[in-house]
Amino acid sequence: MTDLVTTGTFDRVEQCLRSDRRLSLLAELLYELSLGMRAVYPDAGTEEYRAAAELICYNELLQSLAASLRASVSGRDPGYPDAALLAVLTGDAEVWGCDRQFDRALARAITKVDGTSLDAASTSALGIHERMLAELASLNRLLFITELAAAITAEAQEHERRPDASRRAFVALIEYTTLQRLAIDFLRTALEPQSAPASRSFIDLTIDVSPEQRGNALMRAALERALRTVEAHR
Amino acid sequence: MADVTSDDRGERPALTLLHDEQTIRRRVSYAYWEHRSTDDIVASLRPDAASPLTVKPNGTVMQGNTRILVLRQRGLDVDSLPRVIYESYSTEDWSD
Repeated sequence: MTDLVTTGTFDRVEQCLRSDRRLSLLAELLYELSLGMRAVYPDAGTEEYRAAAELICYNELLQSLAASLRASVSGRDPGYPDAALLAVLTGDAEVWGCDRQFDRALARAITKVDGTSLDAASTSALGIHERMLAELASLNRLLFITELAAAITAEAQEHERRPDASRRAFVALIEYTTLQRLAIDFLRTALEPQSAPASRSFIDLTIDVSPEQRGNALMRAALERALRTVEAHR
Repeated sequence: MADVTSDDRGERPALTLLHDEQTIRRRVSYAYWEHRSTDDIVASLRPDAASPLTVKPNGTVMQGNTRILVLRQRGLDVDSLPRVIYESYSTEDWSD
């Protein structure tokens, strides 16, 4: 495992988190954690792939959101137009069979961002989707995408609590969803108006996340890739 | 540890899609890329693009699945396209 201190990565992360590239790094980190999770998908066409379809669905949604987030933050890649992003998200949710969960996550994110009460069960999907486009066009864009990502990972967390989710085949998938939730929490913190500069403990947490250690290597690898991307486009 | 490097070596396993073709064809992104020119799609997969063709050492496509499927259906030799290699951390010995 790479030692982040002796290789200088730790210092580079700290510099980046203390600069105006902080959001870029965190958006890239979320994207890399989503890409990394793809590396542990079961092989397509197998029974294990079908059994993991719901977790795969959440990750595919998250990847589209993370790509949109990094496009918004870095400006170097236009990403999908908002209407296309909505179509991609709803389409993927339907393809992998988690459209109901997506609409619930969407309602939760809208409620969180604009503070209004929204009952997903009593609001038409069309209404929720129109609300999403309005949020994306607002000043709350970054916060909304982050909250939607958070709500989707919350759905994944619900999935993990089911008995069948403890199957050996899903251990790595579940580890990634845990890391994704952590990255989203960092993003939330960074988006707060009075967000403090990155502290040493913040960075420590970023690279030392798993009590069982096995998630640390995944997080460090994603962090190093995110760092390289941000530094390459300085 | 995981790493990403541009592939300039000779050994190139054939590309394997992450999802089955039927799943990819049902995606909205498939309709989007199906209407783009071959040149546009190939350009979007270059190693210096925002979302380059990214592949595990065994040929599994990590990024670019939809675009590769569209190009393959157009008869392009997708296995010869430049690729970014994604070295993933092994989780095979993980247990509950």
